[in-house]
Amino acid sequence: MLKFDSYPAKRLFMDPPEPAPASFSLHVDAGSSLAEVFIIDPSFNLVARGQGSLRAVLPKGEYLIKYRAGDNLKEEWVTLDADKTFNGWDAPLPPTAAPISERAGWSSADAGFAESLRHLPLSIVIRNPKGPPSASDVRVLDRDGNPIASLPEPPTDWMKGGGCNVIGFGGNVAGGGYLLAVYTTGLRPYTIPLWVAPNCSTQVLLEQKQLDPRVKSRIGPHLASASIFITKTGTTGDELKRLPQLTETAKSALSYDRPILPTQEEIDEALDGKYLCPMLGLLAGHLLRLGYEELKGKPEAGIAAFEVLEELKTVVTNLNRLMPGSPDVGALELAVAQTSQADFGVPPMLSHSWAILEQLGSAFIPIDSYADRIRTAVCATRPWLVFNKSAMVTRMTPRGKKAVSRKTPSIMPAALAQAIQQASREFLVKVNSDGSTSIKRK
Amino acid sequence: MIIFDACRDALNYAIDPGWADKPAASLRSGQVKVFSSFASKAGKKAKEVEFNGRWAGVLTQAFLTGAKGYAADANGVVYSSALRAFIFAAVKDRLGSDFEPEVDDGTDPNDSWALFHAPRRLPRIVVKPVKQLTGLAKFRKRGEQPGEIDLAAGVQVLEVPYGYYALTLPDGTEQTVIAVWEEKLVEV
Repeated sequence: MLKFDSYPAKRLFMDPPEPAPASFSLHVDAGSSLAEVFIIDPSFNLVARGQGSLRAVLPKGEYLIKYRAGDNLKEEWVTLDADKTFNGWDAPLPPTAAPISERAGWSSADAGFAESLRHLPLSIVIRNPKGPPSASDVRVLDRDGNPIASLPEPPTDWMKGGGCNVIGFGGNVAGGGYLLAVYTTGLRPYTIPLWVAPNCSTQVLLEQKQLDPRVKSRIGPHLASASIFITKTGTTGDELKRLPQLTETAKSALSYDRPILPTQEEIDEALDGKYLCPMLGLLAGHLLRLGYEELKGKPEAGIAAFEVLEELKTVVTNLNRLMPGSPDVGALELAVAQTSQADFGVPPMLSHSWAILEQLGSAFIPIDSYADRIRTAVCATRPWLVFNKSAMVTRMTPRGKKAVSRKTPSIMPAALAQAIQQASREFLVKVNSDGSTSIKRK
Repeated sequence: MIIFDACRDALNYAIDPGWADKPAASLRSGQVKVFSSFASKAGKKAKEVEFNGRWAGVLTQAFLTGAKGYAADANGVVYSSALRAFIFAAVKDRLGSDFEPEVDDGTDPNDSWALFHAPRRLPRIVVKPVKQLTGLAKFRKRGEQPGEIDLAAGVQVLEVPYGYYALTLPDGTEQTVIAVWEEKLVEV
């Protein structure tokens, strides 16, 4: 029973609309090649869609333009009564913790500070959009989990500084795998893996926010929404141009498994020749893989699937040159059925890389390595692989001794080994002469 | 046809038991048409709100409303593309533009398939003067000529085909009205 059932109803707009007397061209720039744009008519019909920009000839009328940059949406109604162009200046930005645009809310001084740290091989910047950042316990660990630098007191040979709304630190570290752990009172120590590539800078930008919806005072740097860039050392913001914004859009698209692919030109710019932004290449590699997985299930898309696979292979080859040893690149190599010499003892940065390794089983991750021990601690985050350090399996081999090489395929994950070890304290397992077993509580 | 009216809040710090990569598709899977709908994008929550005094999932209600004829064309056919668009609009109308379901009608845009046969029903727009008690408001389907509503006449009920409409008040302010649900109250 409807509330206003008793009121007489007047029927309107029952006749189909008369054909529009004229058509006009509509050009919409979505603001980024990775942003999507949709044109919807008043009867909910999707009449045109595009990625990056869109050109369509449509009957005179009113249309809803919907922009999508990763997870961010924006809609606006337009009247098409002449040829019209809508520029992407007001299209939504992807979710970001980085100063990728003037609209991201950073002051120029704070953005300048972050930029000044970017010449170091590894730097961390924490920003509180609402005021000066409060004290945070942020630690950089080596590939085995040993602390090498932390806030609020980094080593003397590390740089530390800040601005109105930011604080940060950075240092000169060798290439390879690292971990970034955030300790917040009342919460678990959440950690993400990082990779430092030769001749590149890895910069992590974190936003300080309320981490526990139930407790207002639990404020800290939010790892899952981090912006992470790996860029060629010494490049200026002017040289990178739109690549950081593209990287953030690619990150957001990957978070939601949308197979939105950068243009060939952008992938080339990120990876070939100038190799300005390997992180964009890495994200693009995973997006290409998603695109390939979608296409290969469609028999009619045979050639297109083959082309995407070939492009993915080229991206993987370039990434391998720029980020040698990276487990993220290694996972992509395995995904395209190539062999890999990557360092799988350290976890990859991306959940999607981790999913590839998990799906392939234990063979590639060295037993009792740091990567092996996080299996029980991985959080449900995208695209960054975040894990709860306190839920990791404890190390079986003493510190200083190397974990079993990946060349000896592990037959038992560390978590299973530990479970058996714990069970053996409480139970006695006896193998009988006929091969059967009996279990008794000790 | 699969409707998942459930939260997809996987994107948090809870321990993840692992997630499946894309499964291998059967060679004959191309012959199967699938209409699937999630209440939200990955990592977002599904919502329940009150419908005629009962709490219910918005996606389910949107689907049922469309299926029983509110998404039907003049011949009483609910096509996959129409239901897809209808569900999008209905969920966003009830929850706001930040909430967007994920609906896949399993076809190319120009290859719609009939899902249901149901007599066409028309969404009702109830215009109720609360602050603006006099004057002429204009009500139009987007892109079409407006009709007039005399606000002094009190509550008025309009039955219209589903779609985007605009209500322009005597002071010139305009608001979008989405006609999808059985009854939508617009207080002016």
